[in-house]
Amino acid sequence: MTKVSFVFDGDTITIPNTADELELMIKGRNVFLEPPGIAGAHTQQLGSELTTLTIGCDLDMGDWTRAGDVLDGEVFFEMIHKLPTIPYVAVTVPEFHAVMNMTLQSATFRLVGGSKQAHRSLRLEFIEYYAKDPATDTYLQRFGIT
Amino acid sequence: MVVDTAQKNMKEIIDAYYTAANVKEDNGSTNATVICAFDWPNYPLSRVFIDKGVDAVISVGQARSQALVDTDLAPYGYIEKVPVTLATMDKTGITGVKLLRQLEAEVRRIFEAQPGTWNVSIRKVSGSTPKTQRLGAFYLYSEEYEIEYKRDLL
Repeated sequence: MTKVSFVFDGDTITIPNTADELELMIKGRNVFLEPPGIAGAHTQQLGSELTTLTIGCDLDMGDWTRAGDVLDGEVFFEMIHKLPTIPYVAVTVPEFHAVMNMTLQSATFRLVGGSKQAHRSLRLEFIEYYAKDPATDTYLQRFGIT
Repeated sequence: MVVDTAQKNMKEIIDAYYTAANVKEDNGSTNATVICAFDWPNYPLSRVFIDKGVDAVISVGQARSQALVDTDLAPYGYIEKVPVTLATMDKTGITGVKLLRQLEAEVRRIFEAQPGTWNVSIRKVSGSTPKTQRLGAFYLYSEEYEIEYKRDLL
């Protein structure tokens, strides 16, 4: 079993499951100029966007607490609160063989009732923490692909 | 050693929270004799209802299981559906249908009061099916409840 994990404030946090969703999006930053009178457009490459990682978890299953926590997923409350002093964490995403510095952008806790679908879920949005000239890093170094 | 199965877990919940005073004989004052047991005992129903003097049976069956699969393709939990069959008969001082309704209310009450705990195990009544049947000269008044049990890896 390979699970998404990261190190926060000295603790290695392993996310018990990513059953609802695991989406890694890499995206170019392209601008399309569309002057009148031409077919198509002029494309200008302006580099690349920050990578986003979206994780949807089944919060019902697995251990979501650290020692002393009273709330499942409590670490994410602390991460959001401490963003000014701990702006990013190194996130390991085994499915993509990647280790990237990422900032927690949002954590959404969701409880759903109903006779069939009652469950709790957690949606995490991370965004890459990176700003370099692409000539200084290879893509393997940037995304930590090994 | 008894393996920790969904079947065993459901029986333990019923045994722990069943309240005998909620299921009465027709006179309204005497508690009915009710047993909770695993399904497929190695003796016939006549032994239960006649020889042993049992008035009603809560039979806990074997679970149907469905794995919850993570994005790394490894199961991270299971949804297990456990059939719980209630059965009564007409006897002296007992109207089987009345007793079945009381038993049904009691089983519902147990699972309404004990839904489990998030991220450990979640239990809920997902439905019921009438199972009343005629056995020769007798009616076996019966209803099958399905208890859905979402459980973590052992």
